[in-house]
Amino acid sequence: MSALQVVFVAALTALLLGVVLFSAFTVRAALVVRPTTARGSWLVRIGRASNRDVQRWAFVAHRATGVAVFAFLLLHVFDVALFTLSPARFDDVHELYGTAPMRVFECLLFFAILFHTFNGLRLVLLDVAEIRLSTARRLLHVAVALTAVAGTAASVVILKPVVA
Amino acid sequence: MTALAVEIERSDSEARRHFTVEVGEPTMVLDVLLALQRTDASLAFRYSCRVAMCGTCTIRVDGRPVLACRTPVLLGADGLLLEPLAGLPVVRDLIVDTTPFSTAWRSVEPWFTPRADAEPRVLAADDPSREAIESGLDCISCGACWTACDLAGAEHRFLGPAALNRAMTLAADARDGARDRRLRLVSQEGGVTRCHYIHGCSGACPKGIDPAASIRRLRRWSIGAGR
Repeated sequence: MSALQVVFVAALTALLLGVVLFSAFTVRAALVVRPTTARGSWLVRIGRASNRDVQRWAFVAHRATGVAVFAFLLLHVFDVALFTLSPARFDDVHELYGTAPMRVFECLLFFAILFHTFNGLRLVLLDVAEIRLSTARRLLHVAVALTAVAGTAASVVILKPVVA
Repeated sequence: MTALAVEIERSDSEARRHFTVEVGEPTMVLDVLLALQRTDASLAFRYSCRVAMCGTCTIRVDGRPVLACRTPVLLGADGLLLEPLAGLPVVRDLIVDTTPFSTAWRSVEPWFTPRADAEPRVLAADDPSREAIESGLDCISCGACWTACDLAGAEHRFLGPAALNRAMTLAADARDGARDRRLRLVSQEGGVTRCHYIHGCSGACPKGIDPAASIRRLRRWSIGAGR
């Protein structure tokens, strides 16, 4: 690996760590606000895995995916900007995007983008239209289903070169 | 009858926390509390109507805010954890001080102020505004939504789902003479713009109300009124 590639991987690792910490903070905030010693894991303590709490889970996921997408966007602006300095350096860093670990990361990122987009559109719809609680939950199911289908299809395309 | 282990969050750290009670089918959580109070008279909790009308007996059962009088105990469960509502100061054991909740409730002027020239004086059964009004009218001010809301529990500047839901039911009524003032009140800091779409309130409401939808509706009206 070249020095520039090491810097890129280090920056990406730091950002991913930041996203994980932020997600943990979001989850912890939900626990602190509703302090409880309820039995079960911390996952259970945020909300039950039931349809009643499904929108609460969507809120946590929306925040985490939003920060993840924003963090990667920041890094991506810098690595694309390398082209203005030197096309060779740009190529050097962008070689990493073709490696297997980066392709897996891209798949996860794509899932995050898709969920954030579809759930965001759902929230806009809730804001501008009269939508019942049951319909709002159904819309979330649709958003998750669309994320799963589109994300899986994109992952096949992204991973195909390394799997083959 | 089945033996059920019950753990209760007590305000006095020295007080007994673990109990065992014999329960049959059906048994409500309030029945369990009443049975336990016979073995430990120092156990403090509130209740009144026993039919989900007054909202007095709201506590957290296994972390979830519920009405103790209408929450059945599941036989075969490995135990029951009872805690006071979160986001409100504990007075004793399962009793909380609801002043922050009541203060927010009062601040939206939750009473009907009739317009002198209101016509018609009675809304027809098929009046379109009835749908909005009746969707939030079942609120019993139990505080479950307050506990389930991450914002209302954390910072008392937020009016909370119940107060905003009440404001919506009044503002939806064309005969309400205080609509403009009410919309101004809920548009201020701590009003409708503080809702973050967490939907904890709608998931917790024991009466099946969707306070989050009421807040969104109120927000649309506030924007429409240029607030």
